[in-house]
Amino acid sequence: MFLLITRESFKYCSFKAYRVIEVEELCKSYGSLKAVSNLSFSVKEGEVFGFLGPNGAGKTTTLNMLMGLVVPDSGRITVAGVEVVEHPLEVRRVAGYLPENPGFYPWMSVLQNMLYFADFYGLGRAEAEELLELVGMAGHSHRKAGELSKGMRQRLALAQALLNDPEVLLLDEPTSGLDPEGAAEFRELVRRLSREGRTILFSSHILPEVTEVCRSVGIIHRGRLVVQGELKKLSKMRGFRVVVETQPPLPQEDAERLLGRFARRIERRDGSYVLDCPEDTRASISRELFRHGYAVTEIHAESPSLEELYLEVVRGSE
Amino acid sequence: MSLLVVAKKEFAEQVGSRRFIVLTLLTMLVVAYALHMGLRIAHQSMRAEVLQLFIGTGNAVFALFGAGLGLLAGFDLITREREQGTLKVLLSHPVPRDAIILGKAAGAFAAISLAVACVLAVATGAVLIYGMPLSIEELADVAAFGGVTVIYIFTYFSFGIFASAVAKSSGTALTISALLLVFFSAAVPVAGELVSSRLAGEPPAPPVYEHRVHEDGSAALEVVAEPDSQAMRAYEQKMAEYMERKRRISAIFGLFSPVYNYKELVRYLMAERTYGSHAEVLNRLAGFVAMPAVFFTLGYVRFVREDVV
Repeated sequence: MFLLITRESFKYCSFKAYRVIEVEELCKSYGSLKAVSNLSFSVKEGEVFGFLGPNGAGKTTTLNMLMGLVVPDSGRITVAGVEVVEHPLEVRRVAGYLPENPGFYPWMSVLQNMLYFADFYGLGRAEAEELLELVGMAGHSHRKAGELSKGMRQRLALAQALLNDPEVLLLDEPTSGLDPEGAAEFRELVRRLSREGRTILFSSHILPEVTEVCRSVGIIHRGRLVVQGELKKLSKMRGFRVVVETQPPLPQEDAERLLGRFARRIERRDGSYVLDCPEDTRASISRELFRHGYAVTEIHAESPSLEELYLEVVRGSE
Repeated sequence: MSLLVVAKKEFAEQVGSRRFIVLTLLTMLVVAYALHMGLRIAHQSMRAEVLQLFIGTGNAVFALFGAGLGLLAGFDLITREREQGTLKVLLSHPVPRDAIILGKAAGAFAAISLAVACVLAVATGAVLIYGMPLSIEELADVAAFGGVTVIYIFTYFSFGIFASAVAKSSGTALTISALLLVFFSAAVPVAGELVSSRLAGEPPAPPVYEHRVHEDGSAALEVVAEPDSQAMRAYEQKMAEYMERKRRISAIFGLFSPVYNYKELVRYLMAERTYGSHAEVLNRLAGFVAMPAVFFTLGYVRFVREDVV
């Protein structure tokens, strides 16, 4: 008996967590410059994936390859089950793209710009206006695109990226150049789109906003992916920082003797000790100190911030 | 369908652009003024010359303004999209690249046709004002002239779009387009003249003059043969052969000059199709159409293959 498997049924039946974006061994060079080198990562369905890296790391080149705008030298990319190199037009039917510094025809109004792009999908005024409403641009639909502020252009760019009701959204530095209020509004929009079940790849070098919006991240440096995973797991992998204070104050030699087995590194800071621990061992540390006559007056654990993780990874890969 | 969407937008952008409106209006004004001046001195008895005046004026004006119109319509079609960031947005939708460049060409072709039609309508109006209505045959000739003119302007458009596809910025594209214009419209015909003069050899010496020394010691070249003498006829025959040889060599270079081809084809129309041999006109027509086809194809190939970064 034959079983008809469509792309939709395949993705829901075969994998518990369907990988909407899959990149394998991707390479791209411009002359002697290796823009992307053996890059592999995947993004699960419904995930907001933070694609992090310093300027010039290869983020935009990767996104361009994901949209079929740039042909890779080697490697394989699939987006929503579509092989990008072989079917670039098909990918653009299932994915929406907000490029860095998007442009519009300045002599056309906001609505005319939207209608132009909508025409490629056979969509009309109603759909265009609905999306302008969604991104908060309905009140500006008759303004010339050349008169828009950066924040408005980003909103319009998001609206055009949503025209095909995409399963996957690729956002390249979407908040760069926006004022704090505009950036916060934009992040809220992204969260809203994520709640609708869309898979979002959020490329950025602004770490706090990635922490705020994304559940998992990949860090790219010099064209290579140096780390990928869920933010929580990455933090755990990186370990915990336990800050402890005792009465009487713990001398340095006792700190190293008693706490050395719990921490990779011990540092004294303003009368406290900061322990770099692979896991949260606060209870064991308290017991050990108590057993040796020290009362713990303060103990808490800190997860490293994404910024610390990022800097550590980037510096480590140099 | 994508092609039509792009063509529609491109047409609207072209006909709404300031440079297009200014150049078209300027062409209209110059043609109308030249016709007005020509027709004012023409008498009704010179009826047969009205069409020649009509097309001759259009030819001279379009040869100059048409080149500018075509070049300016095409030189930044792709570079401007890159510079203002719209190319990436456009290509992020399911639009094949060939639909973009073909749509741009179709929209520009329609806009150029509209400009030529407007100028010819104004010129026809000017002729009618002087009470010299054009016959159906004459109107057909005017339409044929319009067709040749559209192709002529499109040739410069193809230079522009080629430059726009290969250049990184609009400034560079304009420079490349202008260099192509100068090369094919001025350098090639001049080179043709120089090469033909060299290859055709020395012109025959006139047999009718002789160096004579007079009795008073003065010397001068004097006519020694009568105009209808055998020596004179032989000289004329040799001179005609020499000129024809020169013209043929020059015409080969002319095949690569849009303005030369344009003027020759218009001359053929004005002479009621009695100018030049049939094969010669066909060759010229082939050269005339091949040039925009070649440059447009080069631009097309470059554009569809490039990485959009």
